[in-house]
Amino acid sequence: MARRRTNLTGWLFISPIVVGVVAFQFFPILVSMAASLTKWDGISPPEFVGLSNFTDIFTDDPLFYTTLWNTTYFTLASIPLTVGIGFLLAVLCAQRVRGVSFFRTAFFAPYVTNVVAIGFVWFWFFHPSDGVVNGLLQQVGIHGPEWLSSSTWAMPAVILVSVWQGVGYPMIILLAGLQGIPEMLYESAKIDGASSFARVRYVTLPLLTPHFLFLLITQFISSFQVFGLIYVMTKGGPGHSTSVYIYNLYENAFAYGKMGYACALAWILFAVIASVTYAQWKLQNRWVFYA
Amino acid sequence: MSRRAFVAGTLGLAGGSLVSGCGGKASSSSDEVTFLNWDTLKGTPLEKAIRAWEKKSGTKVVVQPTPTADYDTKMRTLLAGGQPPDIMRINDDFVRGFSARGALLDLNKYIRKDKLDVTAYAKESFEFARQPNGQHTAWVLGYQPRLMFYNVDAFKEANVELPPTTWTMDGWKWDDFADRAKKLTVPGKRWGALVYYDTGYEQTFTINHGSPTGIFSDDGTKFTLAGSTESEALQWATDLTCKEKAQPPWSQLQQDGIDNQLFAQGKVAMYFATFGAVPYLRSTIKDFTWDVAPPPGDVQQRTESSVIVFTIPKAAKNPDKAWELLKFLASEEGGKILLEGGQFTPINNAVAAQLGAGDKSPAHLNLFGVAAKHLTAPNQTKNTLGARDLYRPALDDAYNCEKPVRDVLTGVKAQVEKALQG
Repeated sequence: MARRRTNLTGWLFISPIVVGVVAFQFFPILVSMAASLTKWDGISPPEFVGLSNFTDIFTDDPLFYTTLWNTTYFTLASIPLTVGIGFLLAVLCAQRVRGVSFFRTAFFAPYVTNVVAIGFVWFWFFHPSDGVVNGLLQQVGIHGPEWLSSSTWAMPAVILVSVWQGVGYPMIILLAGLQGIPEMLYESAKIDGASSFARVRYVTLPLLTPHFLFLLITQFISSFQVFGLIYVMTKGGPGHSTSVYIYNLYENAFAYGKMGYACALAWILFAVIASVTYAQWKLQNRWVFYA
Repeated sequence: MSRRAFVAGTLGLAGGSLVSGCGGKASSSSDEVTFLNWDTLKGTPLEKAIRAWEKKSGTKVVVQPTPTADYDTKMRTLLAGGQPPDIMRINDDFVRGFSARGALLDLNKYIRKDKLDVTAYAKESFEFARQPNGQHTAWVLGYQPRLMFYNVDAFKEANVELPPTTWTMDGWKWDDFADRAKKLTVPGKRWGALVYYDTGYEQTFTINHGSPTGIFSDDGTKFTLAGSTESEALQWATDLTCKEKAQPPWSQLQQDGIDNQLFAQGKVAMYFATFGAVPYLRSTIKDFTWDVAPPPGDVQQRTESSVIVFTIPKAAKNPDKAWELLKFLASEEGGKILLEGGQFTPINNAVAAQLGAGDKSPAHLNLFGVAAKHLTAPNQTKNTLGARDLYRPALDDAYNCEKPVRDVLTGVKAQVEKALQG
């Protein structure tokens, strides 16, 4: 009886949150699912069209495959760079040297900086004639590209900024992982004659694989939903070369008023992200080592 | 306090806040008009005109300024939620689509009831709001014609003949323009002209080159910009960069408002822009004289005008009062106040005729009024934005001198025409 009362009290305390989650998360998700089966502009009443939004997306949308490819390109390029550089920075920041806290803060700061501010500043850095980037390249005798106005270079430029901004997060995660590896394992390896490289290869990396798995999953989810940098720096241009999936979704919803269609795009994105995440989770047995 | 009482109180507060957090009211009471706008009105002639009407009518106007970036989203949300303001500013590209969805009030009943003399308004701008079914679903307060702004001192310094000060193409045809642009260009210091940055050049230059419809066909279903005459016009403007080297490269124009900045800094001698640029140039340029001229002519000499357009949503709570305010703003009395802003031509012809520069640049400000007789506007479509989002990015390749305009436009024509179906 007392236990039941305690449970009831607990439920009463969390009920505002539960109500909030149901009202502002579960309900919109259900509405979005229903809306994806309609032709709806957000103003006039929705008209049920079954799966035609989905078939239109796969067979008739000139930008669907372009944006899916651009998003994949962004993801495949940015994740290895972000996690790889994050790992190197974590190793550096794990050293016990004076002033290391400053560097940890400096590397992490862009991650918590407003994406609009970052996009705007880098937009200027990449200016073809007055920008810092081409100015520096000029100093070493290289004539820099047109960057954000070149179909070839715009996406690499955005990826570069994304890596610069995002590298602090994996650094912190991996730094925590590094600090959790017992020192005696390294000492044992040293006694066994392992070189520095071998210690990293056979001690550090295996023990960090759970952290890498976590990072791969979270970075994939966030990379596939990239929007802010693109919106600020390129608006998807030039010539759709940086138009990513979420930008196309946003345009359909808020520029063209195709809410039902945009909901269908969102559910396809959900399916892609869920499938890849599930695969990553399932494949962990092959490479993740839990000590 | 017992734990039970505390829990009950907490829940009550949480529930109350949750409920009160929903359904913010945008509607108005019968003695006030809600007014949604994407600019802040504080200190502007529009605010002054609104306050004048408040005083006259005894009706309060509640202004709801919304930052531009979020405006369209907020507007759609208010319409979708059935709680729209009584009056809202609307992007002219949305008027046709929202009208087709039945979201906007037909103003014909008011126009007829008040026996308005519509000849008092600039014809093309007034007619902009008329839909294919005859409904009049928006209200234009004014228009911003595009003219060629030019740096008078740069012309004198380069010993180049000045553009005309009246609406004529004598000595002011495309070849004359290109020739002057080349003479005005000083490599590394100044570009002679900037035409292709302002998207209004698409309609203006194609029509002037002899296109019957410009960007879209009369019925809004065909992408006529991909035609040979139209592509030639765009190619001519692009060649000012790619061949003549008299216009800034596209790569240096990837920032909002960069055209105004380049002109104000003296880095561009002539540029095509709307009336809306005047206040910025007046407040920024201190070290040279500048003026305006009509766009150069070819087969004809017209110019595209943007319209300052408001609408009353069908679900507005106070449409009668909203109409009274809109009517006042388009009247001679309201128009005179709006004229002080110096950034658009009020729709009332009697007021537009009073346009004059006074002692400020540009000396030939009256040309914005004269432009009313030479306007062109892209035909409306069900999905102008969707079409633009397909063909404008494609044009980047032409503007970057990588492909001919004709090739990129014919390449996207089918997709654009599909988008035009709505």
